[in-house]
Order: sequence, then structure tokens, then C-alpha cells
Amino acid sequence: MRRFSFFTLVQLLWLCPLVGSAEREVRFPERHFDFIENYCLDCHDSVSKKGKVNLEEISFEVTNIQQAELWQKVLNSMNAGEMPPEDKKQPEQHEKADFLAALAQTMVEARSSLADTGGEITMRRLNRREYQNSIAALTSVKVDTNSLPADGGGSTFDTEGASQFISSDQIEQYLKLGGNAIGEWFERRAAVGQEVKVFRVEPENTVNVRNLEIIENLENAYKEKWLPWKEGVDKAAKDPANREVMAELRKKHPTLDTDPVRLYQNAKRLKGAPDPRDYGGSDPINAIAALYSPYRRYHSYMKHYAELPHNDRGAYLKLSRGIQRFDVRPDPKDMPPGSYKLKIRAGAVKGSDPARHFIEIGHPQNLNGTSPGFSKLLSTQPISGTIENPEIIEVDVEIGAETPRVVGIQERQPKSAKVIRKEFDRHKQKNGYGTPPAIWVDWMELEGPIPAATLTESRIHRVEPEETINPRNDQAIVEIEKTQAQYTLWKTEVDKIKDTPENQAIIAEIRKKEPSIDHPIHFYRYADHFKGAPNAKDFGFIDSAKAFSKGPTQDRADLAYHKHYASLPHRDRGTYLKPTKGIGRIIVAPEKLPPGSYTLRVAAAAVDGAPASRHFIEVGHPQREIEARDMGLQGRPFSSHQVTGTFDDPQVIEIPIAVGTDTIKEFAIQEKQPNNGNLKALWDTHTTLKKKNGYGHPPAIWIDWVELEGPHGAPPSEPNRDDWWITKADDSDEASRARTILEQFAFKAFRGIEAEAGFIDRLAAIFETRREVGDDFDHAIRLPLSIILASPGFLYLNEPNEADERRELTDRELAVRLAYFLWSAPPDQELLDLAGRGELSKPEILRQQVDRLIADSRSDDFVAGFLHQWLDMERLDFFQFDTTLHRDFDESTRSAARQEVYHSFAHLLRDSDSGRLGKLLKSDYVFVNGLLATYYGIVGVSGDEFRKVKIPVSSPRGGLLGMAAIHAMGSDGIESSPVERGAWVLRHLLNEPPPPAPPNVPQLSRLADKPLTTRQKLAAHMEEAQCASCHRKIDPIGFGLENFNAAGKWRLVEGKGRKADKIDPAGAFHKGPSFADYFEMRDLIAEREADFARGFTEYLIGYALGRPFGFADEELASEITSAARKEDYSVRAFIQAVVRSEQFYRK
Amino acid sequence: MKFQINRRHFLRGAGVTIALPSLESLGFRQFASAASSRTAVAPKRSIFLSIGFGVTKETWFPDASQTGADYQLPEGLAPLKRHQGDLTVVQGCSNKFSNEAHWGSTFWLTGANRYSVPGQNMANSISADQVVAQHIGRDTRFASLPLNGSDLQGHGPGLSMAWDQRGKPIAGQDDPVQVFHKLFSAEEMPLEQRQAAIAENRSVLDAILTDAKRVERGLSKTDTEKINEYFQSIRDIENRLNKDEDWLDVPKAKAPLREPEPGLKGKAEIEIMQDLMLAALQTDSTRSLSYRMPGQSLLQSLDLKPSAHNVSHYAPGERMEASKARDKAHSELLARLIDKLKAAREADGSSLFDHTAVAFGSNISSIHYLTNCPTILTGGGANFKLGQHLVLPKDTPLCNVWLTMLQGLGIGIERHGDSSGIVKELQA
Repeated sequence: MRRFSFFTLVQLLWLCPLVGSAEREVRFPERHFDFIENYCLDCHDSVSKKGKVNLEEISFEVTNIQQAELWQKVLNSMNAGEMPPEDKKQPEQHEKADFLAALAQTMVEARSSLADTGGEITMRRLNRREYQNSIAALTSVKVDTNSLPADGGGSTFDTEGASQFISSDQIEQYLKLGGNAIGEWFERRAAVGQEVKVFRVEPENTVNVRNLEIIENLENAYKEKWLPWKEGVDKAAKDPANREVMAELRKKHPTLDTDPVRLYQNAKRLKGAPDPRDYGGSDPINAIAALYSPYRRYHSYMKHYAELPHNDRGAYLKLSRGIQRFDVRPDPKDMPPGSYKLKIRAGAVKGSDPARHFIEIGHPQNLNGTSPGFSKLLSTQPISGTIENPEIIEVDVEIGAETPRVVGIQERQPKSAKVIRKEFDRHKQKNGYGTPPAIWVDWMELEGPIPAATLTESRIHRVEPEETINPRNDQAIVEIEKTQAQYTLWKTEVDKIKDTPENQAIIAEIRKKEPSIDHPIHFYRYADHFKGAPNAKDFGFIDSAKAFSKGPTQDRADLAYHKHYASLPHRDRGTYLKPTKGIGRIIVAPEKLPPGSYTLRVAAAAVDGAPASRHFIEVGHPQREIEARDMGLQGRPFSSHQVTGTFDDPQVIEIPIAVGTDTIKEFAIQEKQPNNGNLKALWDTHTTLKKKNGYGHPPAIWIDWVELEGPHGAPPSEPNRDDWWITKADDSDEASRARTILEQFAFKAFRGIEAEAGFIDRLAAIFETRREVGDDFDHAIRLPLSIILASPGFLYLNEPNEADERRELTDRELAVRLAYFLWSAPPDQELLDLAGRGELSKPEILRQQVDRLIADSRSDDFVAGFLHQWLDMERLDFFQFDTTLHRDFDESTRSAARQEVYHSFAHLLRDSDSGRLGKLLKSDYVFVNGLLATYYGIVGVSGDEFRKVKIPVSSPRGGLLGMAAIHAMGSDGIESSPVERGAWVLRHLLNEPPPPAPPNVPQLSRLADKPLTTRQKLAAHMEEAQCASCHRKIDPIGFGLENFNAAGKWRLVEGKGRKADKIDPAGAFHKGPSFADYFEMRDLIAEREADFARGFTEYLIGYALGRPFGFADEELASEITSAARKEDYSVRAFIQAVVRSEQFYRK
Repeated sequence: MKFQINRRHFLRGAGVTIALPSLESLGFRQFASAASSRTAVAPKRSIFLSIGFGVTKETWFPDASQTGADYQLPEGLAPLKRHQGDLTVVQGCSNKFSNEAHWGSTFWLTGANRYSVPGQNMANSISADQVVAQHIGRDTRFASLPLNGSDLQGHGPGLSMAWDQRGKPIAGQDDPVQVFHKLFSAEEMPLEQRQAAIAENRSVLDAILTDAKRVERGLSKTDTEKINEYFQSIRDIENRLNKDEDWLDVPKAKAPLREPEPGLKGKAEIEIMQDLMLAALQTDSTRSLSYRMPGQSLLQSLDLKPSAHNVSHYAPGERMEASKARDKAHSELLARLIDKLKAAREADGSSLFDHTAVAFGSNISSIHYLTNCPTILTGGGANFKLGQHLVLPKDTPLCNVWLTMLQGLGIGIERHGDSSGIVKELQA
């Protein structure tokens, strides 16, 4: 009766034309036959064949699409709950769940097997990202690729040739975009050498003036139109002639007398009431809406803002009403495409909510008007200055041919105006006017176009400490002396009253508990208890307890120490480093540092008399928190140097520094400190010394100046993007000049392959035709150039191979593959040169090049492109977050959350020492900027730049599972989705991908709108076998993550108020260990680094080779993971192993 | 000098105008309907309206026991009451290969099996609207006009509902203003300049082709197939140029409506697209229309809070109410379109409705169900038997409905997608 058709290997071969070695068979485990026999074969045997389905001869080995479809049918009908039919024998739930789980898994494997290409890499074209980068490499122009269809998606990388398509629409788009790029290239070229213009906006002259006009209009409408009309209506209402109408109105509107608007709405009905048209309202309703309501709603608000201080030299950003966005809008004619810099001088309003200290910069959504909002958000910047001491923020703005020529700023805000209005009303109830101001803007400047060379031009930032540190030290001395003087005054007042009998009694009472009151200084700590004591606040101290320590006797402020340093010679041209207390280090913090190599120079002298052990300086990053900047370095110093120079001949110490995209761009020089960073040891020595010499540590090192020079050498961008163009001077014959340009451009566009003469002939002919009808040279050549950018030689990464055997790539092809893998961009000159000399394929050279490509900032494109797809991050943009529930998960936070994921990976990729992949599962640090730190409640991080910040052990952050982006993806913008999250963890962290969500599974209608917790709702998943087969694995993990809300914030309860339920994250992995909470679960997941690494490898292979990971790659994946394991799973080791693999350099 | 500037301006634009592929093929001409702008008989037209995520199962489908003409319109279809005699609700159909619970439009008109091509992540086949375009679209300026909503969640992959002969996606337009200009904005350029532009575009294709032939040399079999897609695309552009040439001396139709306001979203957006579709048919600019309707923005314009996807996963309560409100809005909008089609007169006094076949629905039934695709057929263009509730045997191929419709439009084909025959009950 049982007759299984087993297919032979030969029959499989057609699926694998080139390799023919699909060794792994897809087999539905035969132990499930009993299930089929028990529950299916009664109807679906070879005799009955009910529904034309015969399961008796079904092959348990799935080798072709027909077999797969039959099995899929079985799966579908069982998932739909149709089979076995209700009137037949039913399997047990667990039995059915196991059967379905196994069958679903088999189907996933079968799909993958049937789609297996046997290792063949199909020729692919440039995807959107690569297309954009490739055009930028030729022309420096960044084209907008939104009009091109999206690549990838549906579990496919955008690098997979087999799944790419091309259509006539697309070719026309390529022609158009190529034309745009070439056009803009000419525009940029024409702008070179033009003077750099500065467009400055002083908002006190624009915004404030306009706001005053708005106020005046409000007042005019109210006082001169509304009030007189209202008066007339009021008069008519009192007129006996209207008594009846009024009674009727009162009946209809019981609130008529308390809500005056009701009355005026009905003014038309009152005899003798004035006609609103005479007062500027078309009818009563309109009169209320135009003359009265706006005045009532926001006159006090506008007025409050207008009367704030500092309006004479700047303006406040408003969140609501009036002018809410400040724009710079130069005449478009004055703004050729190019790189611009927007500078904003702004400060935060003292006492305002720190979460509001961010501005957004973008292109306005309504280019002509001042309505709020952006069509494109360019950047979000923190404001850390104050009104008294504003800081200047600089943002790069790239202007292309199509970019709007208006740039605006506004306070960071959610998209929903509703939320802002609600907040406004809430504030107004409290303060009478509305949302208080948070940011004040002094001025804005848009400067450009900035010549490309200056953006990466080497510069010297020099710090002369006598101009910076010494004045600050002198200021500190003045302040200490001032405080001490205040103390003396206060103490004198205390002394005057301390001896009264009343106070003596009080002192005696305190003495019982606090004997220290008899200490000559500690005594003053208790002064606040004395009758008639002076108010410490009047002398600038919070209370007596704080005041007592400020006296000169003890010198707790180390005045003697500071004075001693201030009295030393050579202070007019340098400064002494202080090992303890006060300003102890020199900080170099240039405004902007493009990545590259730099030199830090320190001109220093050793002070005679100090012990030799103190003649060392060390260099590192200063602490980031403002309060802590004078307290040692952030992390370990990266170098230390002995100082041997003298005051007359300072020694110049040179320290090379490499600046990457995620390097902290501030450097500090200090005297070498104990290795353990234990400041207490230093302070103890200081106290000992102070007892001896009266001030403490004598100086040991003197610094004349510090400078930072760089970036050196070739800037990271291609040095010569225009080298395909030749000017008239180079060739006087126009036709041959055009031809040369086209040949050179095509050679470069085709990544080192010469175009055929026939192709150039046709392009030249188009050029000629255009010349004949009157185009000048520069215009006639544009179309032929843009045709090159739509030609297959540019669009396709073609690697010809007619032979049946796979072949090795040429060095040039390898360069192309490598560059598009790690940069999503064409190879640069160095790669092409190495390839030209046949050296690139040498293992050592190849290894070096991979390191170089990774270190280059262009690999950011690999990081973003790969991670976005690997981790399914498109989900992050799926949902509009409900801003009433998740107020601060706005576009700025969403973008920062995404960047956190990218930065965390980029750090592992580039850090050769500690780039362990497993850090993505758990780490004791996070990568955040000021905005995201605020979101996470991490204090002391300011600025827009992402940096590594250590977090306490108790923090749920650190690793992907702690990131807001990951949780936001596992939500729908309103609620968390444990199912999405659990499936994501299985798919991406544990390498146990669940089968895709099946269609047609019956909805759990039993749960009709009962007020259940998420957990209760999902518990029902376990009741139905169709659900349980997958959800028993998914749900426990999802629940373990329930302490993160939809926007990735930590929470302990779900819901609000009385409806709140405590979250219970406890659970157990399916057939695995149990966990009590998120932290335990995260640790269990972190232990599975090997599984994580395997999954990562499979995705990486798919991305790098441009084809789905297949069975043929099993061995390759094992090789890569074992190579990486030898290097502690360093991310770079995975990349190196992929590039080293035979598959990577084979066509 | 002005001449030059204009000309350049046009040339820059010429390569740009989004082409509607004309899949004209002489082989099909013999099957073409008698309809033609040159004959007095009003031509036949078709409109396909897809709603992405499906409907509310409980309140949208009529009671399966009430079939035929005498059936109660359920809550979700109530706004269509005035047209009940002029439409047919079909139950029981599905695309058997469909396996993607969020893809309401990708295979709706094609019935294809995503995995039918080994090694390819995604395969499709020609969509019904493109069959119409091939056969009765050749006589109009635009063979078809695929339209998109401003948001497309739930519709699945594709650039519009339209997929060409090779199963490649065809671009659609989502901006009503652009659609208006495409249909009605007059060419400002003199004829000879436009001729020159077409000639130049041909040279552009020739040049590209030269390089494509170089690349083709020496490619493996699979890669040759890949480059063939490129060649085919070039041929499609050539066909379009031929068509442009045919229409060079025919001025565009005069717009029967004003230029739309920019930036309309949700309900207003659907209404203006309906008006544009109507205008396109009235002016005989095209005879094949498809429209993937917006979901998220429709909900927002109805002041409904949950997201489109969440609404599709409704359970009794806020989400289900939102789902029902959305269904109602869809029915109101469809009723509005029918009103307008009925009101628009042909030259012979008949109405546009009499000559147009309209299909409304989705590949997704409701929630994650792909069986019993919601389907409403209306209009007199395909000789449908209207005014009935038709319950077909479970899992009848939806392509049987499309085949019936295509034949009803006068297209002599025997098969579409996975069709197994026509639906006789649908024929009047």
C-alpha cells in the first residue's frame, strides 16, 4: 500500500545547471507518515482520491515544484482548519502542532532548495544605492533615485541579480537622471571660482517684526472691529424689542449668558444689531472666527513672546502660532548647486525643558509661505549654549540642481499639530499664554558654495593656553576670593549673635547630638539654627551647611595652589599643567574634523625641580560631560610622551592621530596620571604636599602651545572626479575633443573597460546633430554623456563567461566586486591600479585592501545597506507613531534610533581589537548622540555626534535587544507586538527562522474585544494547533521583551491608570531554558553567539555574492564561521573570510 | 533663439515622459474589437479598482444563502443600494497560488505563482488590464493608464497593478496633477520639433543598443537572459516611439475638468482620481484603467486612527469599527463612480456605463485570508449579467472571472492566468 516515489539525484540536476551537486536533500521526516495514514488516507488514498488529492504516493522527498505544491496544499488546508474535516477523526492538538511545524519547515527548505542556483551568480545591475554612488564618483552629483523602483525586499538583498528586473520605464528614468547629473555637473563647474556668498538672517529684523504685525492685526481686529460690533449686539440684546427672541435663544441655548459666543452667533436674529459686514466679518460666525477667536486664543501668547528680553538682538522659536519656522531664502539665482554651510547661533532658554533643546533643520514644505513643517528634514541639532552665551551650530547642506533654495529651522516637534495644540492649551491653562519658549536664535547664515577643496583642506587648529586657560584660571581666583570675602562678611554677622544666651542654649542643645559644633570651623555649619543668624542666601550660599566650607582658613578651594601657579614665570606665553584640581588639561576641540589622518603637536618644557617621574604628558579624549571636562580623560589615554624641553627651547612632541567617522573629535593633553585613573591617590599626595609647601603639587610641565593639523594627504573622496573632461586648450579640433571626452567618460563609467568605436561613433553623431541645430559645445555633449549613464556597460556588473566551468575573476573584476561589496560604489584608483598590475588577487594585498576599504568612510554605505536589509529595518518606517502615546518618538528620534544600529555595527567592523560580533547581543556600552541619550535617560551626553557611552550593568540597553529601533520595528506605532519581536529574534539572532506567516489561518474570534492583556490574547495562540506550531517558539521571546513599549522605552506596566497591568516577562524558550525576566533572557540569547554568527554569515554571503544563500553554501558558511571564531568572532574576520573564499572570486 | 531653448527644453523632457508601454503586436490585431475611435459604435473600456487589504468579512459579504437577484445588501455594501440592479457580487473565487497575506494587488489580475521560475525570488505574468491594453488599447493615445494611491500598504510589490507580457511591473502614476497634464496638457512645441525629438530618441536607443550588444557577447546563458530583459525594454520604448509618432499630429483631448489641486489625500484623492479616470474614458484617451487605491490616507481622511494594516487585523472593537467605516467609504466611492459613469453620455446617447466594465476588489479577502476574494462587477462593457449575487463553488479560479470579462470585452483569448474556463453564470 505504501509506495513512495524517491527521486534520484539525476533528476535533480536540472535545477543546478552549473554545479550539479545539491547534496542536501529536502525531506519531510518520514516519522510523520503515521499522521498522514491516521488522518488523511481514508479519503486521500490512491483509490478515493477525494478532491483529486492522492497522498498515498506523495513523495516525502521534495525535489520539484509539483511536489512542493501538493505539500503546500496539505499545509494550507490544515492551517485553514479544513482538514481533517470536522466529521472525521481529529488529531490531538500537540500532534497536529508538531506535524504542522515540521511540514512548514520542510516547505521553507523546499522553497530554498528549488530556488537554489547551485552557486551561480547571475549578472546584476547597479541597485539604487550603487547607481547613486557610481554617478557621484563620476560627477560629484548626488542624483535623487526615488523615481527608480526599489530593489530587493521580500527577503531578497538588493544585490541579487536573479531577482532584479528592468523595464522601459526604468531605462527612461536612467536617461533622465543621467541627464540631471550631467546638467548639474556643468552648473557646479560654472560655480567653481565664484565668490562664496553669505546669506544672513537676523530674526529680530524679520521674524520679530512680522510677529509685531500679527499682534497689531489681532489687536486691531479685536479692539476696532470686534468690540464695537459686540457692543452693538449687547445693546440690541438688552433692547426690549428683542425680549422674545432672547427668551427663545435662552431656551435653545441654556449657556447663552455664560458662553457669549452663543449670543453673537445668533446676532442676525436681534433687531437693531449691527451688521457684521460693516465691521469686517462676512457674517456673525465669520466675525467670531476672524475677529475674536484668534485674539482670545493667542494674543497673550504672541504678546508674551514679544515682551521677552533679548528680542532686540534675536528671536524665540515658537512651537505654535505666529512664525514657527525661521527660513533663509536667498534668491535662487544666487545659489548655484554645491556644498553650503548653514550656521545658526542659538541658545536655550534658562529653566526650559531640556528635552526641548533641539532644533530641526530642513527644506520647508511650503516653499512660498511660512506655514510650519518640512518637506525634508536634513538634520536635528542639540542646543547646548545659553542666551547669554550662545553657541554656533554648523550643518552642511548639499544643494543639487533640483534642491529647493530655502532652508529653515524649527524647534524639534512631532508631525502631529494636534499634539502641539494640546500642549499649548495645557500650558495656557497654567501660565495664561501657552507653550513657553525653549530656544532663542541670534542669527542664521547660509554660506556657499564652498569649494570642494576647502572642505577637506588641511588646516591647523592652534591653542595658545595663555589666551585660554590662564584667563580662566585668573577668573577662578577672582571668584574664589569673592566667595571668601562673602564668607567673611557672613561669618562676622554670625559672630555678632552667637554669644547671646538664647543661642548659647541652642548650641548646647545641638552639642548633645553633634559634638563637632565645638570645632572652630564646623561650628558655622549650624549657624542657620541660631536666633537672628544672617540669611546665608543673602551672601550667595544655599545655607549655612554649604557656607561653612568656603572659608579661607581651610583653603578647600585651593586658592593658594591656584595663586602659586598664577605667580609663576613664563605665564605670558604658556601655561603649567595642573596634575590635580582646577583646569588641568588643554583641550583641542575644532568645530569640524573630516575623517583622515592628523598630527597633534605639543610644545612643552619640563620644569626643573620636579621629580623625573612627573615629566610625562599623555593624550586622550576629554570627558564629554561639561561638568567633568576638568576631571581626567574619557577612557584611556592613547599615548604618553616624555617631556625634555626647556622654557627657552620647548620640545615639540608630534603625535599622529587617525580620525574616523565615529572618533570623538576632541583631544586633551594632561600630565600623566596614575594608571588606575584613581584621582584620590593624587588628591592625597596633593594634601600631603600642601601641608609642607602651603599649596600642593608644584608644577612639572609647562606648555607653550598645542596644535592639530590635518587631514593630511589625499582626502577620502576621489581626488579627481573631473579628469574625464578636457578643456578647449587641450584639443583645438572640436570633433576630436568631443570624442576624447566621450571615450574617457565611458572608460571611467564602465569601470576600466573601453567602449567600442561603434558606440562612440553614435554618441558623436548625436553630438554633431545638436551642434548643427545650434547648441554650443557644452550643451551638445550633455545628451551623449548621459546616454553612457544609461548604457549596459555602466548599469550592469558584467562578468562574461561562455564556458561551462566557472572561472576565476580577473583582477579588474575582483576590484569591482570588492568595491561594490564594501562601498556600494565603484573601485577607486588605488584598487584599479593594483588590479592593473595584477596584484590585487595576492592574498596579502587583498587583505590590506579589505582593511583599507573598511576604514574608509565609504563603507558606511555597506553598513547601512547591509544592516537595513539583514535586520529587516524597513519596518522601522512602516508605521506612523501615535504621537499622543509616544510624544518624543518623533522623526528625529526615529532617525537617531536607526543610526544607533548602524553606528554600533560600524564600530565593531572598524575596531580590530574588540570588534566581536557578539557585542550586538549584549554590550556594556551604547552608541548614542545627545538626542538618543536624552531618550534613554542617559545623562551627560550632549552633541549631535554618536559616541560610545558606557552603561551600568543594570541597564537594559546595550546590544540590539536594548535598542529603540529594534523595538519600534516590533510594534505598530501604537502597541508593542510580541509576535513580531519574537519572530525577529528567532530569525536574526538565534538563526531559527520561523516559516512565513501562513495565510488563511482562522482568526481567534473567541477573543471578541474582551479587555485582555496582550499576553492573555496571545495565550490563545496555544489553543489552536495551527497557531501553536509556530507561536510556541515565537511568543515566549516576544513576552520577554514586553518591558519595552512600542517606541522602545522601558516600562513596568502595560496600559494606564486602573487598567494598568504589571508586565510579566518570565517565560521559557520552546524546549529550552526558562528565564525570570528580560535580563536573564538576554543573557541566554547572548550565550548563543555561535548561532548568531552562523545566521549572520549566511546573510553576509547572500549580500556579498549577490545571490540567495543556498545549500551549496553550507560548507562555505562553516569555513567562514570557523575562520571568524579563531579571531574571537571579530566582524572584520567574517568580511575577510568572505572575500578570501573561492566563491567570491569566481564567476 | 527662442526656438533653440524650447527645443532643448523639450529634448530634455522627451526622454523623460513616463512611457506607457504599448504592447502593440500585429498578431493580436485580428482579435481586436470592432471598437475604434473611427467607428460610430462606442468603444469598450475596463476599469480595475483594487483596495489592497480586504474587507470586513462579517459585514461586507452578502448572505451566501441568498443568491440571484433577490438578496439583501449587507451593511458594508449598503451605500451601493441605488445601483444594486446594476452590479454583481461574486463569492467563492481565489488565486490558488497566492501565498502572501499582505499582497492584495500583485497577483490579483494575474493569478501567477510567485515561485514558478526556479532561482527567481519573484515571478509574475500578464495582468488582465494589460490584456485589455494589448487588444483594445492600441487605438487610443494611451494603451492603458495604471494609477496608484499616495500610500500603498497592503497592495504588495509592483509599480502599479499592471504587469506586462513578461511579468515585469509597469510603472503607474500617483499624482493627480501629473495624470491631468499627461492626459490633457497640449504640446507647445511645433510639429517638426517633436518629429526631430523622436528621431533623436531613436538615435539614443541605437547608441544604447550598440553597447548592449557588446555586453551581450560572451555572457553565460543565465546572464544572456538577464541582458535580454534590457533588449526587451529597448524594444518597448521603440514601440512607444512608434506610437508617439502615430499620434504626433493628433492634438490631445480638451480637458473636461479643471487641473486638480495639488496634495489631495485620502477620500479627496480617490475622488479626483475617479474624475480623472472618467475624463480619460470620456475623451477616449485610454480604454484600460487600473487603480490601486490608497488605504492609510483614506483612513486618516475618515478620522480613523488605527493603521491600515492594523485595521486589516480587526477584532471587534475600535479596529473592526474602523474596518467597517472603511468598507462603507469604499462602497460610497464606488457608487459615486457608477453615478458618474451613468451620467456621462456617449455620442449615440448611451452612457459610458453601458460600455465600461468595472471590477472592484482585492486578492485579500479579510484579515489574512486569501480565499473568497471580494469581487464586485459592474458596467455594461463586458456583457455581464448584472443585478445578482453569485456564489461560485469554493476556490473557483478568480482568473475565470477575468477570462469571462476579457471575452465579454470582445477579446478572443481562451486562457488567462490559471483560468480553467469561463463563468457562464456571469454572462448575460
